[in-house]
Amino acid sequence: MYNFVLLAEASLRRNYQDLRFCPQDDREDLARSSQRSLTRLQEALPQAQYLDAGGLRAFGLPYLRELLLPRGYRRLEEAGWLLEEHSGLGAAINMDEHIVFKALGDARQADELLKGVRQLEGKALDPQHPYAQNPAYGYLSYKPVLSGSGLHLGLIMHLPMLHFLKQARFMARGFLEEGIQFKGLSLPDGRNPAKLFLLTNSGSHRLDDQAISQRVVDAAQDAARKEQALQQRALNRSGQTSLTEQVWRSYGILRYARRLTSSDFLTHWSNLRLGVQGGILPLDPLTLDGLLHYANDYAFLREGLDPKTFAFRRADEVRRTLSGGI
Amino acid sequence: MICEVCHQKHADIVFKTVTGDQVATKAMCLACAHSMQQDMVKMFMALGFRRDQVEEPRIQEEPAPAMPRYLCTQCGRPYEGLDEHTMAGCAACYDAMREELDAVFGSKPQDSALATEEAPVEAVPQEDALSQLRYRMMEAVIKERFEEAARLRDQINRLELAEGQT
Repeated sequence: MYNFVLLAEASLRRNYQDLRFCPQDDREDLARSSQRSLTRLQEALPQAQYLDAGGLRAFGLPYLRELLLPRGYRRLEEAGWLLEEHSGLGAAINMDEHIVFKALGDARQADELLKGVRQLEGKALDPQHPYAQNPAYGYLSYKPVLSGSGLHLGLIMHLPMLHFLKQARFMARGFLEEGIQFKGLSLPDGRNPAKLFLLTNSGSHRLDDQAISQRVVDAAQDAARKEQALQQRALNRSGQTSLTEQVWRSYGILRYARRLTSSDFLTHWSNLRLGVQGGILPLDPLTLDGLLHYANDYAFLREGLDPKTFAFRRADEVRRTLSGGI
Repeated sequence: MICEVCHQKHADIVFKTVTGDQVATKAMCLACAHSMQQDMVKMFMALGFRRDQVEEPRIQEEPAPAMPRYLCTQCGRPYEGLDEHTMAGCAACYDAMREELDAVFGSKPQDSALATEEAPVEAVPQEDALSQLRYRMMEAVIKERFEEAARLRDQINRLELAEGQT
């Protein structure tokens, strides 16, 4: 299963009892919420990098982290993002809930992620500003159906064959009955060139942390099994199938292209990863996943480059990684 | 002043016509004025005008907006029901949607760290009782159960008075 998981995120969703919830256009409450959250978080994570709404608008976030945030997060006022790189602990402020504590890392350490996010919540808790909760419904969310313990475990999975064969929709329906949300991580235009999916528990009402973790891991194993079976059938190592041909073509493009848009890169990256998983391409999976750093414009915006050069820079970095600088 | 047309009813309208430097007035009751208006409409139509060009358009009253099924007493957010897309405006919205939430989640407290052993099981504190009564009064108003709303209003007033005296 872990071959198909790129990133795991444990998150705890909280709102302040005395303030209006996020989707309301109440700038005063959003400003109060932001100030409270930031004060406590900066005490709890002194080495964390913080991006306010202006910073998010200017730079965005690295690709995989961006996928875990509400679409349009860059247009939000009084929003913020905080992350301590070495621990993977951080928070999203005023994006959908007042504060969403996060722990990002490897799916193999899901239990540590759950523990880490709970500890962060404990450190950041301010007794003077309690969180909104109700004995019957748990911690209150801006979406009532999400109220409960507020804990979510999300896995970003690469499932190209399920995407090609349009099986994801049927899987999503089946998972919904088990309390699992399974959705494609598509671009604003609706396409999903990277064939990435987010698998997470749809609610947390009357579920403890262990139950949530087990539920998500079981669903991920189910999805991984199906993907594995489809890949074995489709990938023919003799090179006779069109899918194998597609993998090698994508390798050639990424190896030699001089210009790559984000969408092009993601499409070919996905084919390469399929080739690595199927044993066709002798590439290091970690190196390949590391290329996602250049998937969106985040890396280039931070350098202050001219946006017209991003596609060329992306191609340069990908070539350098795949071929050693040619 | 008596109507100058029927010479029977009280005149409610005075028409003034100006022709050149001559001014003529005629006092009429409503029925005669309406009858004259209809005659004028017929006259203009006989001259080739359409009825809609001659008659004043009837102003249609806009229907009153329907009251929402639920209404939060704190932030004023209206709700028609609960589904996966429903968004709460504040913590008090959960009180407004209590019926639907109880149907989805059940009304038992959670078996989690939130349900502490210290949670009281006796009577609800006075402040919470008042909030609940206010919510129920608002709900009764929305559902047009005005007698119940009046009874709740009186109950709230008695509790507030008692609270003020303590």
